[in-house]
Amino acid sequence: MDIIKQLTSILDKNSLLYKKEEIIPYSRDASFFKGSLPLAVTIPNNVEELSRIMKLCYENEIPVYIRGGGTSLTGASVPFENSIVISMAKFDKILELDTISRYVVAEAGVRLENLNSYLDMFGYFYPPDPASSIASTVGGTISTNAGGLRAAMYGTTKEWVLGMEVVFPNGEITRFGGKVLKRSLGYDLTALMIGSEGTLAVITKAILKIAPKPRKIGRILAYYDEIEKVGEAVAKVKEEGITPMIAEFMDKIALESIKKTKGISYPENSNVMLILDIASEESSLDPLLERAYKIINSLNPIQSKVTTDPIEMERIYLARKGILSSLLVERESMNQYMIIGDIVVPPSKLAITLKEIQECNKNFYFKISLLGHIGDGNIHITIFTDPNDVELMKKTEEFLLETGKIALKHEGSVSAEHGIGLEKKKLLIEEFKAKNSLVNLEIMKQIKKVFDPKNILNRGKLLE
Amino acid sequence: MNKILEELEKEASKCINCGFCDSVCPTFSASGYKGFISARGRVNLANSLIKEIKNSSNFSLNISEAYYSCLGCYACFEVCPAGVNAGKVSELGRKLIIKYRKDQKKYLAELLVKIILKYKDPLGLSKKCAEWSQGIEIDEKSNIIFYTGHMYQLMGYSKKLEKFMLDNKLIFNLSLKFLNYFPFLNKFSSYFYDKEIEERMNNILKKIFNLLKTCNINLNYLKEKEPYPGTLLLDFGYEEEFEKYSNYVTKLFHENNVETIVTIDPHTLELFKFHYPKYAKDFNFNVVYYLDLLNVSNIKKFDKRVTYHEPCHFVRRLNYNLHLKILKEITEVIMPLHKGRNTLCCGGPDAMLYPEISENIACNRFNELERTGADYIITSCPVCFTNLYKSNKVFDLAEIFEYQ
Repeated sequence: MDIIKQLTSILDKNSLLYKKEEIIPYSRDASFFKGSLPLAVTIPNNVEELSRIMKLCYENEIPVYIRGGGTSLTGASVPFENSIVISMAKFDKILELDTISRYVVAEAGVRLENLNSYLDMFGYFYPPDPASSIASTVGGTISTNAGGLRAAMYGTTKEWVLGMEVVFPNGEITRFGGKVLKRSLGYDLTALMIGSEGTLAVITKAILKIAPKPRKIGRILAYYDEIEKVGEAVAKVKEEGITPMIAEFMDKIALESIKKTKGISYPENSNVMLILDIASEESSLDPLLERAYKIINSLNPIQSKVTTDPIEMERIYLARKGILSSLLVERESMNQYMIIGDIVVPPSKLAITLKEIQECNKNFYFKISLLGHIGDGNIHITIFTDPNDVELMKKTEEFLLETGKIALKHEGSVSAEHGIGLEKKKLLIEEFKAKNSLVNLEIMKQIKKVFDPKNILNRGKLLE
Repeated sequence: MNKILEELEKEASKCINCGFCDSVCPTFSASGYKGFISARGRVNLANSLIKEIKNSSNFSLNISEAYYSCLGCYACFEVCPAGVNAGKVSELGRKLIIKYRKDQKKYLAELLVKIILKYKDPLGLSKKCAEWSQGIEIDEKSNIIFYTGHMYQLMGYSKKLEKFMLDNKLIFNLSLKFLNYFPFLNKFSSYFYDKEIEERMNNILKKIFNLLKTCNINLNYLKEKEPYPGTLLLDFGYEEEFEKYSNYVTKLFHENNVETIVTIDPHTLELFKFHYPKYAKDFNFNVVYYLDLLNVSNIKKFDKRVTYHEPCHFVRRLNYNLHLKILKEITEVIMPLHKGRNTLCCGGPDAMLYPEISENIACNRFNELERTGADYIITSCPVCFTNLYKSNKVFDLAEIFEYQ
């Protein structure tokens, strides 16, 4: 209770929660990990209050868990016992927009969809678009280096962050980077924060690059009988010098779920769908689309078509973005939970990787659905499992480990855009081992010590 | 507890904890982002509650704030990938409180329930509620009844009452405990009478009545005999009381040879369409909404640009959007950012129990509507109208209707 008493001197009563019924919602995020109840939840109104909370926790060596939208799929934001949760929800303002210099300054708690609704009014957008963009926040997506559908053309969050304000565990406030595209100042501390999963410092606001909305987008849809053909088709399009904005694939189970939930049908004999978006200037789009369409058709799809109708395009885009929601109908019981893998391989290795994953599952017999961002080689293996079944979860972990190893064999990575959190700590070590670079882990631990010598930020995650 | 618990488990156990609902739940931001006053928090709490009840056949968690603060706007349900309705979870939570933990009840809710049961109106104002009908021509033999449900009339009181509650929290809460023992002292409500709103509401009622009359529909109206439909009883979780009350109302309709009930607001329409048939015996009336009876092709063009606030109950619960179709026929409509099934709540349902939250939500929605730059802000629900009435631009749909 002592810490709560001290917190009351920093926060008003509406910004401090500690009764059981008030803090229960903070013990979970979107992963299957069940955290514990923290001592208290704080909802600071400004950076000064946040800094004072951090200082207090630092002095008392109390673990602190930072919460954005609570959408982590790896357990990165669940708290453990005897800790304090800091909710960044009140950092919800968009502070500045400069369309000439092409940046926006947004506080950490701004949800990506709200940011894009705002930018849309000026003809701009912020490209990272994880499927959770309705709920995920600026701070949270920087912390996990989130990607999304548009990463094929625009890359992940790390390409879009110019600078930020952070609070160190001891309460000190500082700024990394700035509002310019170029900067050569030694170690890039802005980059260090991206993907750090709340283990180094608390991000309070960020300077983000923005892009003008593409003038026109065309969409090619193609259905194939074999998954390899999809990989081949995208590779050929790229070889021709065309960079797709979006290149997505999904397997039959995913297609079936979309049919059931969104009423979008597919040719019965197809096993995989390719969605390929090409963005360009009004005048140059049609020739580009035509070239890409020719390539796609050269691989004998079961069915293919081109559309530039915004309503149809939006329908398909939302269906793909909401695919994990649709897959819920494929659960065999309410106890089943979907655990989503997040490996990535060089796009040229995608076809062989997919084949090997299916082979590997013959030893596990999981119901799985394969989908992902074929443009950048990111595969989301959706595993239907039961978090309450200890034996089954052991098997799930083993399967994830094996699929991670497949990705590493093809010089890929075990985590593309969801981060490590609690879920992939073993896989992280596996990756460094495979690359004969275990020293990286030691460097990361040393960096953590410099930022957070008392190890109070997101204790138990990422490196431990 | 079993039936409520079963229903609660069926709803809450579907949750995958993605948090999408929190991003659209109006009470989350309006409460200062308290996780338990938000959609996901309510579902999380329900899952903990279920576990606790299963282990000890009772519960110690205080669930009152979480579930009474829910607006029931169902915005959460619209975005939930797993099909969880946190609004329904809250409804069940409130039923649990009333049935098993009365110590967690709300004094104001309890008082209003007592007054409704005794006077057939939440403020004991049945007589006053009929005053708008002075001078209108009623066909007492008609079996088509014009049913106001007191909704428009009560709005003349809710605004001032809300302001009083905000300014005098302590006195109000103390008097509530006292009044619960003496519900007949409800006459205090006349203190909160707002003449301007009352006149406006009475004129809207007259307008709707006359629009129907112009279509040659002969209407009966029960005047001071007309009972309040009991919406708040169900909203506050008083299921048993609602069952008795709905049977009383149904009987009264039968005694007056009613065959068709013409409703004029979304709350009453929903109650009669979906809930009365479940709770009341022989509720076999034809329930219609007044707009469906109007000769809409004959409505005059309106020469102002309007924005339309779509009430949650119409678009999400009743799936009804004729208002917008008509508006688009008669004038230029500029829709706000949140529209259609993603409409934003006006905050009205929280006005009595959580006036601060309600006011924050109302200001947020009003600003969004105003940012459209439209000349008029139109709505079609008396609760939305009253909560959004922050400038002279706000109108009820019926007010701008004229026949050619």
